[in-house]
Amino acid sequence: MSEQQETSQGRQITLESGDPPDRGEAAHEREFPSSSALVTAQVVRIIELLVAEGFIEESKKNQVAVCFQEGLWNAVVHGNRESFSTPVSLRIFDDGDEWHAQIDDRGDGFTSAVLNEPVEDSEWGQSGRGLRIMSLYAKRVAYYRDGRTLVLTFERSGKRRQDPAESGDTATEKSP
Amino acid sequence: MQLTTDRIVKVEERDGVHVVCFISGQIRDETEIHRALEEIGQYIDKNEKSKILVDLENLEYLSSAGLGNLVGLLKKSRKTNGVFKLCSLQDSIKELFQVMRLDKIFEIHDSQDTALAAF
Repeated sequence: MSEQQETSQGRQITLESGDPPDRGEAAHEREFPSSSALVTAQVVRIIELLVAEGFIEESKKNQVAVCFQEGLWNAVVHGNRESFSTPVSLRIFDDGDEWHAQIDDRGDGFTSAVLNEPVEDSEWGQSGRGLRIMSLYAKRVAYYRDGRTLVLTFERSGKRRQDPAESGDTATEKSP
Repeated sequence: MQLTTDRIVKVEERDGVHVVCFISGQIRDETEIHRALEEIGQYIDKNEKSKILVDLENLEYLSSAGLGNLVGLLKKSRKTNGVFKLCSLQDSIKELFQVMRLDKIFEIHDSQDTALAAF
């Protein structure tokens, strides 16, 4: 079953109960404990890597960074409820003209009601903007496994500048 | 209570206005931004008619949590008859404010000087 919400930017956020599409081997894969204090550091590291490898243009890196910040924060705080021993995983899949960032948590997921929640008091609300921000900058925002997996799709902005093997980043990395 | 400079923000008083600038060249942790903004909130709560200008020049991006924090500060400021303004937003943050319609509720200036002149 698939639910979807159309944002003010006309892009859709989808929610499905099934697994995400199999995209083969990840170009990058990392796992980190569910601590909100670790999120920004993870975002900075992966963004630097993706810029170096040509996934992201320098001019777009802040837009992608804010999407990662939102997605990882939701997984750590709302998904895994900051249980330090419960990891969040982040995988990057290279798909030619597009690339995908898959974020998995081990929480309870959510229902479509979350996607349809109005922002509290419109512009005066202090929460509820994360999904809208992701849909503003990502080409697609799709949730799978009842909300436990987020896949953000971006257009590749340039040619690969560096082979992953040369970048020093291992295929699988656990941190910190 | 005083607003003070720390490793995240620099605070100076100009013409009776507390100008809060995020320090450049640092990787800013979301939780640290939250803490810095929370301190401003405590200051507003305790000081009726406070005048605060937050300079965002050195912030490359701001998440939904950061936006929510700023809305919270604006609410507190209005509640205590204060004045709260923003200045020097980078283009990506300016776009975010426009899309979220936050430019309708915040007074945003291009520079510290124009903002201070408007207090």
